[in-house]
Amino acid sequence: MIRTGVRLELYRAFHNLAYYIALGLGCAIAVLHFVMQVLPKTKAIGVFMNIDYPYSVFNSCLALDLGGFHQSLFFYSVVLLGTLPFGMSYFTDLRDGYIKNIYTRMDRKGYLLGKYLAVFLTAGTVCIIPLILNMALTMAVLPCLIPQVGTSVFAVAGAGMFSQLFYSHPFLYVLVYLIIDFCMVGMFACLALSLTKVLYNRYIVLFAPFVLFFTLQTVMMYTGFNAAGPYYILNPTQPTWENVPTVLTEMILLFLVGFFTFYLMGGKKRDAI
Amino acid sequence: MRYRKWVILIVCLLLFGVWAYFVYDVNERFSNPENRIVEQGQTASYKGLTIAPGEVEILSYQEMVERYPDFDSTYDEMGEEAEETIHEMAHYHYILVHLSIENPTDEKISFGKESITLWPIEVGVQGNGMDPFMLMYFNPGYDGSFTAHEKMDMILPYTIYTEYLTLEEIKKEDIRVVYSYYRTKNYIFYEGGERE
Repeated sequence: MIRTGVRLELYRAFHNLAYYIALGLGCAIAVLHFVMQVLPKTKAIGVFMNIDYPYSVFNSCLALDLGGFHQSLFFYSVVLLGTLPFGMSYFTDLRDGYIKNIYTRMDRKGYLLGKYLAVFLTAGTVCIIPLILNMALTMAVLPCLIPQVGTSVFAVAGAGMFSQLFYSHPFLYVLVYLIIDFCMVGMFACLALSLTKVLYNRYIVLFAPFVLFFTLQTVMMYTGFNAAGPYYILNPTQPTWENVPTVLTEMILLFLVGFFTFYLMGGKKRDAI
Repeated sequence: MRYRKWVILIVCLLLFGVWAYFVYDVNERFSNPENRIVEQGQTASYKGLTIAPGEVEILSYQEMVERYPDFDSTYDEMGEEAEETIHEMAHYHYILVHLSIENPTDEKISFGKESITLWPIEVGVQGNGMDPFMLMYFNPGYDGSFTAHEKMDMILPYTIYTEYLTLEEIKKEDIRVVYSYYRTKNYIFYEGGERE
C-alpha cells in the first residue's frame, strides 16, 4: 500500500506542467550562461602565454563560474524553482479536499512518504538537470583541463572543502556537489510541506522555502557563520570556505525539521477526513 | 506511438554522437599538460636561458626577521599603506627559492610581459604569486632582462598565509615553482618530507 501512494505521488509530480516550467526556467539560465559566458571564451581559447592556462570546463561551466551573474541568479533562484513544481501540492490536496479521496483509498503513510519524496525529487532534479546540461554544453566547446592551483583562475580555494579532490579529480568534485545541491534544494522545497499546516495562502506556501533560504543566508552572513549560509553551501565555487561538519549539520537539521514536522507532527496525526 | 519513440531515440543518439565528437575534438586539441620537472642539481632550458634551482628556505615571520632584518624596507615606497602591509606580514610564512639563471646566448634576453614575477608557487593545494616588493629587495640588480653570457643568482620570495598552512605542513608538502603552464607544465620541484 505504501508503494501505491509513493508511485501515485511521483507520477503526479513528474507529469506536471509546473515541473516542466521550472525545469525550463532553470535550463534557460543554463543555456543563456552558455551563450553569453562560455561561447565568447572559445574565441580566446588558443591565445595564451606560457604562464597562462587555457579556459577549462572547470572554471567556465555554470556550477564553477565564480561571481558570474548567471551563477548567482541560478543559485539564488533554484530553491524557488525547486518548490514550484510540487511544493504547493499538499496545500491544494488539503484545502481543496482531494486528500479525503486519497485517505479513503490508500494508506496514509504511503501518501505522506510519497509526497515528501515527490517534492524532494522534483526539486532536486530541477536543480541538477540545468547544471548537467550547462556542463555538457561547455564540455563540447572547452577542454576538460585539470585545474591548476597556481593559475588563480579556478574558483575553489586550497582551504575550501574537498579542494584536494577538485585539483586531482574535478569530475568527482562536481559529482559530490551535484549530490549536495540535490539534497539541499530538495530539503528546502520540502519545508513547504511543513508550513502548509500553518499557512493559509498557497502563494505564501510557495515562497516560504525561498524566504527561509534567503533569511538564513542573510542571518548567517551577519552573524559571522558564513559557511552555514545555504547559498554558500549550494555554490560549488565556495564563495566562502565550507567544511564538512557544517554542511552535514545543516542538511541533517533541514531533514529533521522538514520531515518530522510534516510527517509526524502535522501530516500523519491531524489530516482529518 | 512506437514509431514516435524510435524517432526520438534515434534523434537522441544522433545528438549524443555529435556532442561526443565535439568533446573528443576539443580535448584532442587541448589535452592536459605534460609535467616537466627540474629539481635541485639539474638544469632546465627556458626561452634560451638555463635555469638551475638551488636550495629552498622555509621560514616563519620571526625567522625571516632574524635572517633578513630589513626585508620589509622596500615597502616604504608604498607610502601610507606601508605600515598596514608590514603589520600584515606577521600573518605569513615565507618561502625563498634560490636559483641561478644563465644566459648562454650572444643576445640580451628580456622576459617582457612574461616577467619572472608571474611565476607562481604551488604548495600542496595552496598557490600564491610572488611579492614584487620583496623580489626587488632580494634581487636589486634584476630589471627583467638577462645580459648575454652572464649568470645571475636570484631569490624568488613567496608567502603563504598562516591560516592556510602551518610551517610544519609547508615543510611536509611538495613545493612547485611553475614557470610555464601550457602546453607543458614546467616547474622547479622540491619534494616534501622532513625538512629543517
